[in-house]
Amino acid sequence: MCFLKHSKIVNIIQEAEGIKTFWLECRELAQKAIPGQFVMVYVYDHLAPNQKPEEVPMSLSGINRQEGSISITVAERGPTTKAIHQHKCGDYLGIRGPYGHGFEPVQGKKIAVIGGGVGMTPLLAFIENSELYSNDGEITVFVGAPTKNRLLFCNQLEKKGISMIIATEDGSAGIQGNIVDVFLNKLRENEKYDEIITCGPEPMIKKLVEIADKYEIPIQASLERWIKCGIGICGHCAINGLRVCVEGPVFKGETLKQLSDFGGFALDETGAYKSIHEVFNSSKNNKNK
Amino acid sequence: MNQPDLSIEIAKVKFRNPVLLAAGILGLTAPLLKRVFDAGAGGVITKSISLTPRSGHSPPVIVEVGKGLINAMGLPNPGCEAFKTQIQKLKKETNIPIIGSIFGFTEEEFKNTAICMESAGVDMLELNLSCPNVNSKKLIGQDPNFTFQVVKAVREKVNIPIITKLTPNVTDIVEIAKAAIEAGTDAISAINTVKALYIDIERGAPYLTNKFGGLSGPPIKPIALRCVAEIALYVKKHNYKIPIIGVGGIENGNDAIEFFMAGASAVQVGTAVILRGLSVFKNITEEISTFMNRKGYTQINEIIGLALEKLIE
Repeated sequence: MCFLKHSKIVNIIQEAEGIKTFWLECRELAQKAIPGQFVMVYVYDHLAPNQKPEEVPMSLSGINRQEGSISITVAERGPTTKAIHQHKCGDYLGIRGPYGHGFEPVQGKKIAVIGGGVGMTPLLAFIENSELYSNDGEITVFVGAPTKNRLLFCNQLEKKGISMIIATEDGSAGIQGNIVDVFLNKLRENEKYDEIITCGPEPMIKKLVEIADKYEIPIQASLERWIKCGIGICGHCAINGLRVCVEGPVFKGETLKQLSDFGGFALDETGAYKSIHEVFNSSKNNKNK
Repeated sequence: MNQPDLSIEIAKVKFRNPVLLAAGILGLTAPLLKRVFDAGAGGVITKSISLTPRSGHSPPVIVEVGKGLINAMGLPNPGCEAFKTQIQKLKKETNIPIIGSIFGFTEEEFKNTAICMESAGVDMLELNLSCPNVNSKKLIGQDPNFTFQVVKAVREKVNIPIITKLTPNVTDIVEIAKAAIEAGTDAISAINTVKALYIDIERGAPYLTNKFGGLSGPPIKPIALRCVAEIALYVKKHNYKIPIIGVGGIENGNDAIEFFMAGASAVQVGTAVILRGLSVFKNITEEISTFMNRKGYTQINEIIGLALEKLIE
């Protein structure tokens, strides 16, 4: 098994301002990967002078087993993601993986897929990969974002005829408000769902886990922590005694309920135990690369 | 069939079995360390801790080579003050023997980190000498004088037992062991990682950010075993009571037994956590028991150093 695969970019899609999806030729990985898993992306081209190559973790947004390709959806935030955005079709990125525990097959029919901002990324892979739900599965996608131009994949989902409910905090598209509140209102209107699949900011996921518990709906959520090795050995991605890169990123609600760190604590770049807010909202963090 | 007694004692600290978690693997938080203990480890060694926090190198920091790993994490850690909380938490929840791995770039740093970790409540210290001396290109553990000074400095300041962990990247590891013993170390662990390189041929450049890294896992086992044997022969020759802990590529019970026969009183497991999962600790202790039953041994002591006589011949 090859550890690092230099993969050619075969397609680039501008999803929103500052957000692009890159499809990469990666035959072996495309056969093995499951939605919810991630890869480590090694960026060594289009670097600024004095910028060193760097490796960053990215969720898979697409898995195409027939074509032997996978996709990552990248928001331009810092020097490394900026370099990725300079890449053109025919350029290469180093890929290793797939890593982590992805989504498990859903038992029921009515599935609520709930995504906040770039949290939509692994959810797209879930939606597009019908191996994970039954043929008569009914998916409703709840897409939330602060504003219209940060909504992801809506056109794509619309074209596929997937039922969608959009909410923006500023009301520039869809319902004005928070996507979790929108979902909760549906439940209060007696809408029934057999399972919730979600990804987004951790406070959002925490609220959904609480709602899922109250309404007794199974929930699978994709979490994020600081990833260094990606293979379960360094401990930096720990949430209580679990590793986001091995036991996660996808966790079941029953597991999350037991984790005191969930929604509250994470390790920073040095491995220091801090509040999630400090780790993910500081200017120097894993999300701003 | 009676289960053999796998308990051992190192520098008066008792361990329920001789298979410990190696430094640098998962040992960053109390819940992770507890998980490893619950999974069957006889004791745990923490991540290597320094006086002040370190971010380490930016990724790429690891690469898989066969069944081994080359890592150049760069010794990231939260610093001793912050890490104390994790030790205290762990001590409240379990009675597992905790070995605090520490490092520094000067004697002063080693000394102060040692004092800090002792006050946190660790049962023993393991000195990671595979870090550069600030005034030299050499690693502390590559120089017998630096080694002597650091071990002595720590010895004078703490009451808990000290294990000195040796690097194999030397011409004569016995020379370094000698210095550590003379400085007052209670035990020796051997070996740390072997300096190594991985070149990404597509780019014609080293892949790790730090360029070089340390190789660990099964590929280094024969080297680790040879080092343990050399140190054990030296210790035996001088009748020292210095236990040796073997580390480097131990994956299963047979590997552990090789190390006991070469003179080790215990072993540490690190990279094999990737190869066999966290159940590796339980698996190895069961495999050791199976061997001991088959051969009629009832205590680990009966195996320690068994092969050394044959090495002298």
